[in-house]
Amino acid sequence: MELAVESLKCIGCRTCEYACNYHHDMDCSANGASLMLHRAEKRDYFGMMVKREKDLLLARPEGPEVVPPGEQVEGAGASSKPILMRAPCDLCEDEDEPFCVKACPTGCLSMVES
Amino acid sequence: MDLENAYMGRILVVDLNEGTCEEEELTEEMVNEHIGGAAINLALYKQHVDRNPIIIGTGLLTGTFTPSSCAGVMTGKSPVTGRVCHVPLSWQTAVELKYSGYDFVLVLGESDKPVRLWLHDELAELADAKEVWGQDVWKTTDKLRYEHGDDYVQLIGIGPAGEKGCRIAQISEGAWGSRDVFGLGLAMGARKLKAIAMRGLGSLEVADGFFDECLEAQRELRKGAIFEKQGLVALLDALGLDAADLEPIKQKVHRHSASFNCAYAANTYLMIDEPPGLLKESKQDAPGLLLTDPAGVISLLFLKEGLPVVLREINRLGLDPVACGALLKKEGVAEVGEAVKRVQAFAGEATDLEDAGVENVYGIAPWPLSEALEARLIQAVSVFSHAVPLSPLGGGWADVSVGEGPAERAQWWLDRMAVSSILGICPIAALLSPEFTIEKMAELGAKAVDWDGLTKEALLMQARKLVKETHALGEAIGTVPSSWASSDLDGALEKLRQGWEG
Repeated sequence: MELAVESLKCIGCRTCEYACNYHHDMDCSANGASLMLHRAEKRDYFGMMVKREKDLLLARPEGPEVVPPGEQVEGAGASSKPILMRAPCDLCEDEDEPFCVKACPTGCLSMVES
Repeated sequence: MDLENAYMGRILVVDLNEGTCEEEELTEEMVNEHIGGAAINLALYKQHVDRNPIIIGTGLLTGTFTPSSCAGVMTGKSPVTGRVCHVPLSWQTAVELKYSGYDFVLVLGESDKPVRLWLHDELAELADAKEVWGQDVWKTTDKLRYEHGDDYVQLIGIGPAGEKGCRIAQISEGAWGSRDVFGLGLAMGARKLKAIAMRGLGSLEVADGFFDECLEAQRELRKGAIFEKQGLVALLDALGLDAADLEPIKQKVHRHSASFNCAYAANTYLMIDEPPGLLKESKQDAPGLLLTDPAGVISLLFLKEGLPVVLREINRLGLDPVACGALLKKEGVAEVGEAVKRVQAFAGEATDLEDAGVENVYGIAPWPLSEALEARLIQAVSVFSHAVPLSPLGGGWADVSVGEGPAERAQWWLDRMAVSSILGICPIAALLSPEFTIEKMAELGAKAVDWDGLTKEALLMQARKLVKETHALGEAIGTVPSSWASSDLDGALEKLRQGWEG
């Protein structure tokens, strides 16, 4: 199973980031989350970035892009950097469902067959 | 009480005359006495009233797992109404403030030169703002985000309107408008405070079981019929606006956005210079605008297809769209090019509704949709922003257990606004989800900080005290519209005030 992001369902509420961080650090913040909202506010361009074990998933509105380690991401702003420093998503091992999926209010995040 | 589950424990005191920033402790005693948000803002206001303070505060639950806990509140004496007012902050603004390390920011006095405030990592810097003074809201936002190296930096700022003494100036949240109809943009400009920029990397502790309880509450709220939809246009639909009037907006809808931890995306981006179906990132700087305020949109609907272009300009200049709509209507300006020129002129001078002969409520433009007695009452009390709809959303009054009496209905609205401003709950969510009862909010608050004393009764008592004391402060500069002055309004207002005495 793996995490799927239907980017156009995302409303940018950031609930998933805080839920993910709670799994990792057991506190309320977004600092340690394995996923992160990228937003170009004035252009209304936004989507999730997910740090995975082997790569980075960019759930862009126009379609997902998988970036292998070390590759430059086109259009990445300063806020994209911290995601590379985060712990990778472990799909909330030991939980019945990943916290981000549980918390997402729109069904943008879900678990699918790999 | 586990204060570290809700607050960082710091009040920042900014003295603009001295150019200093100092910290005070947010004590458990203060939270015990006032709970949080607007009630603590008001206590700080009263304590420092001789310095004409502005306070930016976060609610007890702002930035927690509580559903719709995006809200903060800005409190100050409105230079327009003469009364003290509470303006809700939404989007990511208040969450970023709390996580920057400061729960409350108390701004005292006035600066003799333009300044800006930068809050991050439990540090506060008051810096020269000459590079952004005179710049519009977008340039200011872009420059400060670039300088601080982070697109996540959130801002409360002003545009040229606030700098130039315009009485219909509005504070901005990031690049877009806010729910400030009280001229706090002018209040910031008069203090030469151009912007407050915030970036938070702090964290809060979490009580055992709180996360799961909040997720369950969120799931319950999402059962409301309105959650089958998204966006600001659906809110306008729910308010009963004519579908034909909304058509020009619907055709330009790009995507909907929510404020922090809100299940309902109350903000809607309209594309103007690109096709609304564009999925790739535009190469243009701002190809459209984000609608954040139902009242502003309603007041400009007469511009039809021209609305997005004019409202984008209003946001860029830092003006109140409700007031702009009233002025343009009065002048009979409905052509887009002419309307843009007029709003540019409004921002460049001391534009005033009263001088322009526009009927107003103590100097601010009335809620544009309804003249129902309860709506008039809420505006006459003039404590909370009426850029928030003045009735329950979704099912309307039939959906809430309140009678038909105008004073009773106005009290229901005031209670919801007061409680949400104390706890940090989004005011739109408070109107959208009557099933998110004050009892439920109190229950989550009590669980969050392990505080048995935080009951529905305690919360309501604090809410009524907040409304009563705020309303009693200051002196109204103007009057309500002459067409409103009736024994109906006076009698109902008296009844409402009597209710606060209990």
